Amino acid sequence: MSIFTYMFTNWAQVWSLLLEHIQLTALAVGIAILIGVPIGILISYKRWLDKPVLSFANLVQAIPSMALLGFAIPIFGIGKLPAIIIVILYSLLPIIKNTYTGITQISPQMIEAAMGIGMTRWQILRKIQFPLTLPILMAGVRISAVTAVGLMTIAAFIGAGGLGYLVFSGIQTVNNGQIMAGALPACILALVLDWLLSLVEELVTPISLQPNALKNRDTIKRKHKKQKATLVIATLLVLGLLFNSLLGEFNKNKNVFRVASKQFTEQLILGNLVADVLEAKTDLKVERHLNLGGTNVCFAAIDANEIDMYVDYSGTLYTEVLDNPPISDVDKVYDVSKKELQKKYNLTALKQMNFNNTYAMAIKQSLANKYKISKLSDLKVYGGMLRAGATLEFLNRADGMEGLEHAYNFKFKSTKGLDGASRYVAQQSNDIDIIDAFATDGLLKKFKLVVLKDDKHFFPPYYAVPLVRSEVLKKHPEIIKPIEQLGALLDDETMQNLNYQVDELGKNPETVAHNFLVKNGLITQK
Amino acid sequence: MRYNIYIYCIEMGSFMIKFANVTKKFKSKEVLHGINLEIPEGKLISIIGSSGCGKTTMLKMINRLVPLTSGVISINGRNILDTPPVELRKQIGYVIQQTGLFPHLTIAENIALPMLLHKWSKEAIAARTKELLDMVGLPSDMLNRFPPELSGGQQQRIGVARAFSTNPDIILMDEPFSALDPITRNNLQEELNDLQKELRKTIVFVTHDMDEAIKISDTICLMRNGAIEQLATPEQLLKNPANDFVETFIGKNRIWSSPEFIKAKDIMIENIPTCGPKTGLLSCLEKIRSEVLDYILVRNRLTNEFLGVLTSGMLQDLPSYEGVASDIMRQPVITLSEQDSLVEILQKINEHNRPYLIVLDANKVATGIITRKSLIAILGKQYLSDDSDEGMVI
Repeated sequence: MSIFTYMFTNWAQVWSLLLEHIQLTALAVGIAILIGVPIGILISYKRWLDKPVLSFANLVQAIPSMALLGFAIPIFGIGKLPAIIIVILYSLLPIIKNTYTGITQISPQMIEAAMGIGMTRWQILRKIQFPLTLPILMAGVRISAVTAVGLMTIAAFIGAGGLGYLVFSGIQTVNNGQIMAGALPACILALVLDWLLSLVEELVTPISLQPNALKNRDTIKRKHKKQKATLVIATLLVLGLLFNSLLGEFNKNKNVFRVASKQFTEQLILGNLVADVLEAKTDLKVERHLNLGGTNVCFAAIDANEIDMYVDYSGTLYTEVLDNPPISDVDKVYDVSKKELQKKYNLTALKQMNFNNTYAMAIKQSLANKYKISKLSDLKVYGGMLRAGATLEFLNRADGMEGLEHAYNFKFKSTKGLDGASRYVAQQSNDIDIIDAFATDGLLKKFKLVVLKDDKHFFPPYYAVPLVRSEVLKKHPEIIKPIEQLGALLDDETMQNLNYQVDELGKNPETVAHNFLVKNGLITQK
Repeated sequence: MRYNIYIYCIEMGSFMIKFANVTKKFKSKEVLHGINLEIPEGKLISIIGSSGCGKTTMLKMINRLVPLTSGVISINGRNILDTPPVELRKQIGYVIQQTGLFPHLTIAENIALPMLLHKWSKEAIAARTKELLDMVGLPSDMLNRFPPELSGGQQQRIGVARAFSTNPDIILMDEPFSALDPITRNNLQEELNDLQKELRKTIVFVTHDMDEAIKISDTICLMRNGAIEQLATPEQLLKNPANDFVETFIGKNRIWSSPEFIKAKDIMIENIPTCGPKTGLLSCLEKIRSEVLDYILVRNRLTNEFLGVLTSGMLQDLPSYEGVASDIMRQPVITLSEQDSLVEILQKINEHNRPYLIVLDANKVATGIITRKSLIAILGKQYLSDDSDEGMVI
């Protein structure tokens, strides 16, 4: 799907994400300025502070942004807040550094002259140092702002929204059009922002200090008028956006019901299905936190009251969350999980949905033919020759890679951690031979892969289990019925088909979910 | 006697700024050693010395830009430490090299800064600004320009105007003209002189340029290694250097570049033979022959008042030597006073085409004579080695 078709069919979504992106960036950079400039001034006065402060800002810059996001979730939760905080942290360094440089490069004689005519420190700062520093400071703000636009795309990873949402969804579903639809506006936004800030930089540079200023003062003055007008308009627009979102925050319906999902196709479809059904069948105002992150992120979020509901899988809950050794007894897995979740986390596991998205190992048809591999026990012979590529989650789970190799008594030639759809791509380009997959994965169909039969019943059951915070459920028991109705409709085949529509046919998870619900009469056509 | 400090006595008048035993240490290094200095009101004092002598430090201590280590600096009898620094500085004008103007502010805004600090009204500031531009001889269309658009000399004029803006009694100037070209510097020095004649501020002027100091100062304070070597008027300094250092610093024969300080008294030939009006001509002739000089001065024996002059030429070809001195002596119309400067002497000699001029003191007593010959000898001295100086006054 090309970027143009994607943009054309989804322009409303791209536009609203772009606006969200602008809001987030403006807020983060704005706060970074409010924090960074005073710090820069402070360390230019208290010189013994400059090294520690600048080193700290440098250090923050050096931490990978993903790691910083990881640290932020337990402290700030998920959503916009941690995203903004992290972007602020990253934006601080250029602002602090340039403020500091700007102030310290003013000749000491000039400051002494100002003191000599009887100006107070504050007057010197306001009338002499600050105006002379402003051009350099603005150069720092420019760097910060452009970086912030780029960095903010990562914010989608913890559910902050913005253009990164398109990039991440696009990567998950190997939809280049969608990736570009997120990346291109972000690039343009960065360029426009850089241009606007360059106008500010020029405006705040005292006329006398501009190159050629002495000859063309009138031209510059006329130019300044135009620049001012442009900036005023841009500022008003951004303020309008911020104000709008603030209003939104205030008017937030208390009845808001937050639905989340993990960051792969099936989860996106499930998230949309759940959200759409609840919107249609209840009075709740549903807020979507789709594409939030892996199991850890989603479970931490529901536990921390950041979200109210998401769909997980019985096996995942049983082994990963509740830390039980993997077993294959379907009922036991569900019953134990339900009990323990209620007891330990005050979460209710609703009735299992009708499909089992268990793990599966998949290889290319040609490879299966060559070695005559059709079931997992064949790996005892051939496993040592195969290079595996698996999600980080699979590599880290007791019922994942480790258990698999143990149960079937073999060891892969090598294993590589690859997230999302990229392992299918790597497999197609023969960089890896065997991958983990979900049984309902539409990409299995798309790439015509052979799923190896779990002949020793190693993989635990992974029935979809809607998890709801019990507190919310008590208040809104009306959500149970529509969710159970939905669960009954989704069997393995149906789910794989839905996934296939997104992964293979390049449709939107939103559209696919919507169409499915309409077709089955759960909601009416929009 | 190398470190002997010339005791400077001033005429009646109050001291504006007083240094009492002031020392300054930067870390453990003492850069000013027990300075005692009294700066009289309405006078311009130059502090001069080579770099590192402590002259700028002294200046900046007055407005507390540099804190003193011990001792007391007082202004009008009030210890400067009793006034908060910002208040103190508002009372004192301050001019430094070019960097003193703020490049992002227009000329008008630069000049207005001290007045704004004094919370003057907009109208008052505008009026005063015009006045000041006029004072320093700049057109008022400069007000909306920026410092980098001005020449060095114009910038410095603005700096001076700013220092005078709130009409402070004291103005500190830290090498204000040293970065300017010689012609501009010269003009500004003259303008400062004119301003000072009119406004009579107490000005402390730091410089390393002896010509400048001599030209503009009432008093020169010559510093070396954090101590005062000599405190004197420019003339005293030139004529009576306190020691070899001072002499070397001001430069040998320096006085020739300030001929206005060379007075008739300093260069006249003294001890000229005299006679009374009734002295016989023959004895006059004998006296002239026995002396090297060609002149005899006729004076009143009782009052010593100068009456006339006899030259060897006048005495040589007389038909008879019967008469007395008063019969043939000449009474010159043009005479010099002891305080006439070299310039005036040369002017008079040329103007009246005289071979010699008699120097009279206040009581009309002839104290010496200056002849064309002696002038040539005096003027030639600056170009010749000064070993054979003895006997010459300078």
